[in-house]
Amino acid sequence: MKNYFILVFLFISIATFGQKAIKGNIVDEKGEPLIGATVVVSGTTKGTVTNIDGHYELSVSANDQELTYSYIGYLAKKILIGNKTTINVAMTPDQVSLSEIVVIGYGTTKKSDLTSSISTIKSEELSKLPVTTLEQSLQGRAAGVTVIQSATPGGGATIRIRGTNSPNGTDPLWVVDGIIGAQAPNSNDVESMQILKDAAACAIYGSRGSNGVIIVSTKKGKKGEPKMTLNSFYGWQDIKKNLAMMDGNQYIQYWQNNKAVNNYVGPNGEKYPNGLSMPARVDSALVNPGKYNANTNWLDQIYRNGSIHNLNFSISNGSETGNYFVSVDNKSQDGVQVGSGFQQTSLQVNSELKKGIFKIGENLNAKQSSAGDNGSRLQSALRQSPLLAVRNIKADGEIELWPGNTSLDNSNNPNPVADIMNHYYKNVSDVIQLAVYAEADLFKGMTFKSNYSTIIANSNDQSKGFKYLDGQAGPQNTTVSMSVNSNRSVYKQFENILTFNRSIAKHNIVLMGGYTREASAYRALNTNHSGFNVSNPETYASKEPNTSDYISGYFEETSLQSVIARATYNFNSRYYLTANVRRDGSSKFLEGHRWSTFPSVSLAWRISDESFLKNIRQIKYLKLRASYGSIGSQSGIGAYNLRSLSSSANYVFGNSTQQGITQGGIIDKNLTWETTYSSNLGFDLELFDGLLSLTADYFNKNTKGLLLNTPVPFSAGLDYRSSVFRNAGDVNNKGLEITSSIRKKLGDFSFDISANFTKEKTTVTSLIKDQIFSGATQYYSYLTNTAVGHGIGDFYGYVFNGIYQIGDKDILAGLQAGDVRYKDLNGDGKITAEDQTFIGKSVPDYTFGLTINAEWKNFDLSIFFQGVQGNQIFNHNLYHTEIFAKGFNQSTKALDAWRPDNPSTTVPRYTDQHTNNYALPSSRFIEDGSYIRLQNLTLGYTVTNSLMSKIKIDKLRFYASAQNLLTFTRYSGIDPEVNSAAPSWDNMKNTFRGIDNSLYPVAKTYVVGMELNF
Amino acid sequence: MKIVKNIFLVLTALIFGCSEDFITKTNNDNMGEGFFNGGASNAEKMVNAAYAPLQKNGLYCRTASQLAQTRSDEARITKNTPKMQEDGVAMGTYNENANSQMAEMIWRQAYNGIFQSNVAIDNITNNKNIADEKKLQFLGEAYFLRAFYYFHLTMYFGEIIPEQTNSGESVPSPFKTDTDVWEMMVADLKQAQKNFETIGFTNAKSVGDNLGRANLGAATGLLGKVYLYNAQMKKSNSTDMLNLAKAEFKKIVDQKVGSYSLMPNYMDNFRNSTEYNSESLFEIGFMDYGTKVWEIDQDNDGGAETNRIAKNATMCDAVGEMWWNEAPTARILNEYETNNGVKDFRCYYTLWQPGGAYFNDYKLENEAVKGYVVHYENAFTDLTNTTTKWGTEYGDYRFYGWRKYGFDYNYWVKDNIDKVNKVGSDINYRYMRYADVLLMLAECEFYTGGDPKPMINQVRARANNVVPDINQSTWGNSSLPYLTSQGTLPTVENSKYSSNLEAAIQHERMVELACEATRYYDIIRWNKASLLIDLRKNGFPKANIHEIIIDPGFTGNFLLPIPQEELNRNSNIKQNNSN
Repeated sequence: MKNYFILVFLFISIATFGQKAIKGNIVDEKGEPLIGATVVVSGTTKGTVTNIDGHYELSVSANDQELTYSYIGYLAKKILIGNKTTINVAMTPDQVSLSEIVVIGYGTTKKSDLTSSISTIKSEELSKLPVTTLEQSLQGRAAGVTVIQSATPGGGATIRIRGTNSPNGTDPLWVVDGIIGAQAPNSNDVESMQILKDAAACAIYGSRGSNGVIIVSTKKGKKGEPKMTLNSFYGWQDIKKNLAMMDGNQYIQYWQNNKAVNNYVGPNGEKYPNGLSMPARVDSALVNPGKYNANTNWLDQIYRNGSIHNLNFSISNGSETGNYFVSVDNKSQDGVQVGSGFQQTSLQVNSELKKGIFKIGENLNAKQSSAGDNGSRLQSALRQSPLLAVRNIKADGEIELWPGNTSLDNSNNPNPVADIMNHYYKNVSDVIQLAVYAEADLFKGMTFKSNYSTIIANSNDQSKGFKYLDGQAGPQNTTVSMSVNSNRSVYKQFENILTFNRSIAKHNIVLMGGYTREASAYRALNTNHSGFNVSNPETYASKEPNTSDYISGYFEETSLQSVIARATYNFNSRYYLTANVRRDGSSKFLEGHRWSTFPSVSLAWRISDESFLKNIRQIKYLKLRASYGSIGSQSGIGAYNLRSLSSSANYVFGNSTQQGITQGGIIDKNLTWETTYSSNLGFDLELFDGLLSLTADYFNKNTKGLLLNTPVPFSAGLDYRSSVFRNAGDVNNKGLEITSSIRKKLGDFSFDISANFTKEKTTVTSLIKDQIFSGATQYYSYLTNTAVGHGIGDFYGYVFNGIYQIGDKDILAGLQAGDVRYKDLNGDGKITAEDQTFIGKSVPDYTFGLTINAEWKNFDLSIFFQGVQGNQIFNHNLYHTEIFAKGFNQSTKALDAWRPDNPSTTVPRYTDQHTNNYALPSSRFIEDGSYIRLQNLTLGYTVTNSLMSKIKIDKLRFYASAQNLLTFTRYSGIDPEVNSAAPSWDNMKNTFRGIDNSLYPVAKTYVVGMELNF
Repeated sequence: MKIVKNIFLVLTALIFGCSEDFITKTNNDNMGEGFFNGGASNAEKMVNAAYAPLQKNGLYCRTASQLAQTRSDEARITKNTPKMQEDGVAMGTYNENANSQMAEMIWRQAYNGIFQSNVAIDNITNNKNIADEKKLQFLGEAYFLRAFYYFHLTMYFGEIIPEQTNSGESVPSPFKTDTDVWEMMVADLKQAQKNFETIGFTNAKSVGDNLGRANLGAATGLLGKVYLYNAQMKKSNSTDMLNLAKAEFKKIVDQKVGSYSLMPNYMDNFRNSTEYNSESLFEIGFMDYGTKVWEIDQDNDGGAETNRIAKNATMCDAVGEMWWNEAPTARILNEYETNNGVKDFRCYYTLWQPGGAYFNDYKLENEAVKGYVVHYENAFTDLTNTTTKWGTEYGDYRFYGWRKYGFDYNYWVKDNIDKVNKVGSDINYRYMRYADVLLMLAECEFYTGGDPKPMINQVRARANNVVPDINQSTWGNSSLPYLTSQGTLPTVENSKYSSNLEAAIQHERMVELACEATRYYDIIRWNKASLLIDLRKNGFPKANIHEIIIDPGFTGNFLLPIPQEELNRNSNIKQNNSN
């Protein structure tokens, strides 16, 4: 980067006449002594710093007129010397960002003292956003943080920090009030969030931190009057139903077209056989449309206006001897899909007591939530024939699961409405997160903290079939089956940390060391029982046990213990060094391979304090940072993957089955930790007294020895379990993150604009034997692949090259005019697996966010845009709506299908014999996934009048907000933000990204709300 | 760093105690970590698992029989249904390619069998917790099974296939020469023989829960078969090999390795009630799972399977949910001799055919015959009616059904109606029986200058036995000769094959062992690809016969291609020279 600043040096020679001594104490706003504060004679380099009692002494000459007092995070003060010999100064905190206290792993530091790459989000930013989950509020807020929201009610979001470095799950680690791996609390209760991005920042969390760390601190009570806050909002949701599906008449037209093609005879007697076979009901509808065409719009049937509601109340206070914060929160959401919803009630209690050298406290988060049937029914709604009625009049108004009939409609597609209404599904879960800690200031600068945390989660889901469950238009079931699955996980964490903090002259040292241990246990019980009466879905009462009843269970335990150490040193708050080391031992690995050590180091140079920059007034602050470190990962490995798992394989001897047990898999005995080596270069700059700030980071991560469940040859003999965990490859992520903000106040009007930008590239640099790892599949074809030189889970398939036309000489054997032409990449005259190539990628080149906040008198306005650029989406919905399968409904594009008299089209001919042609994964289904979205627009008004202060109301604000209001994209699906979930058993989760497979659609949300503080 | 590390370790140890225990977790799920070093009952479970793949879909549950039958001239593939059966059609018409799911399934499951045999061998061999006698038996079984799986793989995929020598090998390399795999099979079977011999584990001992375990007779029979196949498939040194084979078969006939004899009734070899009889050397065990079959036989839950030959080819279509993936040809029907106007009885036991046995079909719409017996023309309406899709698809040709391995009559009574839609049967698959051994011995004698006639005649004599009184009323027209008096098959010297004993042996094997997945391998080892090509080119006599469909370019290579997925994952392996 070019530096446009002209550096000016002023050299001032000092003539020395008479001398006198000036002394004094420098304290902060609370009266506490400030250690290392600087006192200089204005306009000279002559000066000193305060000692550990905040005391200073400085001799000045008769010419010296003024002293400048400064301390990082505080506004500089200039005081005329005059005749004084004692000058005591109380410093005022600088309100700009650099003085923020940033929570780092096992400690805190000032933002200005950071040596590593950390982004911070504060409660004020969060409170402006009415969201139901904290994850959502991260979107577009911090550079290097990619968030893909989940539209499912109560659903979280997929978060990636600095790209995806493994096909495995690469979720960042959440640390909430010191509880590692905790669930995110309510955004209203959050004081601050720090996102730790580079290895130097994350290394203290060792193997847990390899995908970045999000540290969340919840609020504490503050000194003064007790505070109460009430936040409430209510919102409406709807979705874009912009998928142009055929209505009943178009559907009939489509079949008429098909019939015309089936009967078509060209001038030379040519025919186009293998058209669609006409469903019987369509045949009838062609004759008597009035009778057979219910003209159902299935999208209208399954989607409704959703609603969302959140109420949060908190009370807090603090004193010299302690503080407390208590908050209750209730959320409820009726999703846009009929029958979907989510409800949650939670409680946050934080309190702390101080006595003598001791500080004792706890953070408790307890929540209870329930979710309805939130599985997306988009696919069956898209497919269902518009000829069919939702309710069959003949069946007494009952909703039939199979309104059609396989033989009449060539389709066994369920009625999505009945599928929701006739089933019963409920998930209930309780989560308790508790951290209890005690802290003691042993002697000056030495603190010991012991922290015990636990997370207990119980989840129970019940589903019960209902009438028509099993048969296709079959008879009603008189009894149904119910499955109840419950699981319980208990996590315990115990930490003991010793911290020593001392400044000697200009040397500031913090040493931290500690020991932590974590243990998790998980148990699950799954049951299925049939023989329930259909009348009441909630009841457990049933008939006798049935032969298909079963109970199965699972139990596993894991543990991790670590020793951690950190040394931070800075000289004169100018030269910084931080060194971390963490040594982890994990129960997942075999004895002898359990322990590993991960060091990191980071350096910073506060260059703006150097004499050659000090006098450039425009540059208020400039710091250069560099870091390098390694972090291990054991993610993706199960509790017992390296244990001798057994697998059953029974056989019949005589006339009975005898139990057979064999080895459940092959173990790679050389398996070691996956290690990410990460380097970071960056700078923080503030110009013009905080008007403009800029932070930029370049990062380069090399992840070595990816822990992958890699396919092994079938000849290894594992049958369907043909995979083994190996250190299978390397991945590089590099990129650039820029965050910039401008803030300005002009009379009644103030604004700040902040923007962040991330450019990131992921490249697989090696894989075992240059193997390609297949990912998501559909119709026996892989949709994504991971290969050297490409990203993780890039789209893979054939290259669509138009439609074969009558008379084309190169129509392949078995195909005919109207079929899809793919590029024959290897030129062998056949279309085979070798003609597949990489046809797109789901990871964007750029992600960005732009927030504009403005205030004028009592009004506040917040506008937030975010977007991605340079990614593609595999529009899997087209598999359902543009390949003419069975009697499924199609998009209106089907009307434009290739016909002898409609040759200029990109939609292939009518046929259902498409297995080796239409349905191949190809660039035909790949679309540009870039978008810019007006994610949030909020207008607020704060009421101020004399009455308010009389009844002691500190703040009353009303606001209206809209989310997902406008989206600029070329993507043709419902929404370009595609959060495709991989099946839970699949550990190649990141290879499923960007596949739009009839997901629960992202809704627009309109909200009105109120904030009340008193 | 090391110093820091050590300081902290010491500090930790002092303050919190040594905590390696804290990160030691054992897996108490499944069988626990110590399972594989356990005693005899654990070892037995490991051996049981080595048997399990035998009854999986890729082997004798379904594919092994369908593949062998439809690729030979005794049956043909009939139907073109979903993905899986597209593969079946390709197999049956020699049009398969390296992406065939069916070939992959065979490959996967046979290697799974080898892996599970190796798990047993690796963990039992040096295990001191097992008494010697049990140890010898278990290892004998595991060696037998490993050879059994390699034998199948060799027949399907050739001789240069991956050699998996222990259970921890993740990327096996191939056998180096085309004799290595044969040597390995011979070594394993000799080892098995030796073990069984030491402890006298013959069919007299493998009773009760041991019924179905490989024993001395099974190992000897398979060893003889391996020698015989080797002799005929590798032209070199064949006389030595044939003598070796003969010696093994003679041990069986001379009752040196157990007590074996032909059952008086031919049908006893294909019934559930007469499993593990004196004719049987090795069977694949199947059981009745009532209506739950689909839930338990998903090939990956460790559950034992049912035999699906019945569903595949023997039940009548009127029973519903009939697959009809294959149907016997007129070629096999016509192969049966007629003497003095009486047909070889085995024809009626083997095929559903006009004028043959009745089928009890409870599901027939016609109330008058519901629950009663019906004959071929009624029960197999689809197959015989030229106006149905079968007729449209296959013209005037008629299809027959396999009756062998079909359900016993009694199966289709009212009480069992729930099972009508089941996909499999409980009848064990007889992999090797004494009649097969006699005929293989006859073959060895013939090619080494001995006299094959006594063995052939034993088999022919048994075929003349009357069906005993089991639900005779269901066996069709009660005046049919096979229900009332002895058959009239003459001895081989008085038959039309008297002047050509090679043809006599080949004929006898075809009719005696029809529908038993042997014809295909016989064609291969006899180098009779020309037989299939002739059939393809010239067809059968036009009247009611259908052709075997073989690609015109067929050059007589019977190998299945090595699955593409294996080649993708294993760079040590090259494709074989299949088509």
